[in-house]
Amino acid sequence: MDIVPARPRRGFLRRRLAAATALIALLLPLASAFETARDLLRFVSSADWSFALTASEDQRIRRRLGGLHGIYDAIREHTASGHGAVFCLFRPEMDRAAEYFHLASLLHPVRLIPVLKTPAIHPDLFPALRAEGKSFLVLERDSGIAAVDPAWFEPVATGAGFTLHRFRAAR
Amino acid sequence: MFVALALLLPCLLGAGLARRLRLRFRDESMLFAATAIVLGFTASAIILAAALLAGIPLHRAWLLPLLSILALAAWLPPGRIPDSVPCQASIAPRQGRMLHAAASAVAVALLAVQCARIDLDPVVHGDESTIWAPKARALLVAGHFGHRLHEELHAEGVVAAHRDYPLANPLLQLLVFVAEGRSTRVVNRLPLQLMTLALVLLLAAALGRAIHPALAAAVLLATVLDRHALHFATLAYADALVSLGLFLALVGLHRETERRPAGTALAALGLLVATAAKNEGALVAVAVSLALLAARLTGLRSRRAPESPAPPLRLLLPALAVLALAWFLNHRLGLTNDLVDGLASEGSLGRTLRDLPRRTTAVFAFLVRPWPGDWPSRTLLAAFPLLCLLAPRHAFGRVLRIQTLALALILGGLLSVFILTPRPQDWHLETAAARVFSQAAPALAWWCASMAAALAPRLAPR
Repeated sequence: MDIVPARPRRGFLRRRLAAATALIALLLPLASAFETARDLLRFVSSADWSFALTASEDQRIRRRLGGLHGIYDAIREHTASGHGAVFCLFRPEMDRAAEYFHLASLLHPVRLIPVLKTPAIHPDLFPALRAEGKSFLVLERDSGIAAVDPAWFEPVATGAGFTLHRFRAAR
Repeated sequence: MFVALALLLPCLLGAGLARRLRLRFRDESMLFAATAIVLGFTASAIILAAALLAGIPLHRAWLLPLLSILALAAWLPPGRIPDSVPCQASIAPRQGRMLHAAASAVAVALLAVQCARIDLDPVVHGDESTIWAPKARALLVAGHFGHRLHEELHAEGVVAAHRDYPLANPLLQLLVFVAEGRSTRVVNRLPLQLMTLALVLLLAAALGRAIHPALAAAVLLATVLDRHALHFATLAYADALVSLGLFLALVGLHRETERRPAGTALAALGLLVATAAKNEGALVAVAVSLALLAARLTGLRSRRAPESPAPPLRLLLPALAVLALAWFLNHRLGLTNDLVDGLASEGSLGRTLRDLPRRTTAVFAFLVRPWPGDWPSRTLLAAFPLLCLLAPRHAFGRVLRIQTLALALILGGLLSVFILTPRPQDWHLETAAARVFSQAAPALAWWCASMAAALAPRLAPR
């Protein structure tokens, strides 16, 4: 008697193909998962775990700010002692500076008030502020303020290309 | 110490609530732990939102005792909880269960390492410092959902974008701020990182029931170690919350289909979390509603009992309440959505529609372009339509129909967002597409695993 091979059930191949597709989709990401795991294990072996587990928030902020921490401290001291606002002299390149956003984020709710968004410093701006007779801080990048009147400003901190000036109050 | 209490008490409260949902730690430890975290922090966020609505001053002097009392009450012997059927986390043999448990422990350990690495730095970069943390600080300073909040959000010099975004993330950060008595720069990430832990535990639990333990272990590690998604899930972003909400909703509906305890409650909780996290969460709620409606209509047409596992309104009520609160607050504070405003601006929609073929091509070109290996879950995105075409009877069968329809609608919705965006399309794709599509990755991984087990019985849990 001839043995007739059983005919595969309808859709058998399609189901097999679908199962293979699902398996490939599920397992393909494993290749990059190994990379991520290796990266994490490298961190485990090289990290300063004493810092990672016990450092205070302030220590983590200082580590992140690097060269900017002098400016950060000066602004905090200024605002804590009840002096006036902090003006941020926007120049086109500063507008996009990541460090500015880091400072603004870390100092919140202290406000870094943007003053200008043009390359030229408005000649009337600082005399007007001076007339109010208060003490302000001005944060800028590069040396635009010197063009107004260097005698009005006293640099108090620098870092990462930024300079923080104390604006002398009118006497 | 107060921050530790603000993290511990919600977990205890959530564990008590999970017991009341008839979940048992000894039967389904990972699902129980995940549900406890989600329930506890959701309850804490609701308490803070109620205090902000009522104008009650935010202070740990009442918040921590209240959480303690609620946790105690949740753990008191309940009057009468219906007996639940013992429900094994996995039906695999002991050896397989051990392998799955070991992989889950490795996944959790690697997540903890990633959190430690992220927490070396304070919140100073990206959306966590320009959207979420500023909103949480504004809530802390304002102490009320009133005009003071509007002033704080719009104050000169405050970097706060997308002020209309939902409140789950800021409220979870606010929990830490209130416990600490001031705004913080690092520990405010912890509640969100715990929600990511809940997502990992939930994924481990669901995969353990869906597929062979060895495969479940591999898929869990592959999904958790997706570099791109892991990075954003451990920052104070809200994408992991959407991911968690979507996955919880789909798993909850699946439990209901299998007549296992707490299905409807978990689905409703998932929709609540997703909706309160980001605007994509509203898309999740709409997609699940339409999928449930379609299942009901199909059941009516085939003259059988309706196959929708739960009354849609009961499922959607918490999410609808969140949407109503968000609309009320945004309306009151005059906050609008930039994408909606952009599309609604004069002539914008017309221009976008005329440009539709090019925009659609750009999105698909972006999705298939070579990436330097940092978006591995794209394979799941590609597999989803393929599997629906190759095995429609399984994809749209009784067990996975609602999940398949919901995922299809969600992915379609996300594609539409990037096709119709009023922002420069290339920029929007570069900055957001991988992160936003990755929100669906855990749900897609579980769906693909369930499909594989249904198509090849040898892959089923044994």
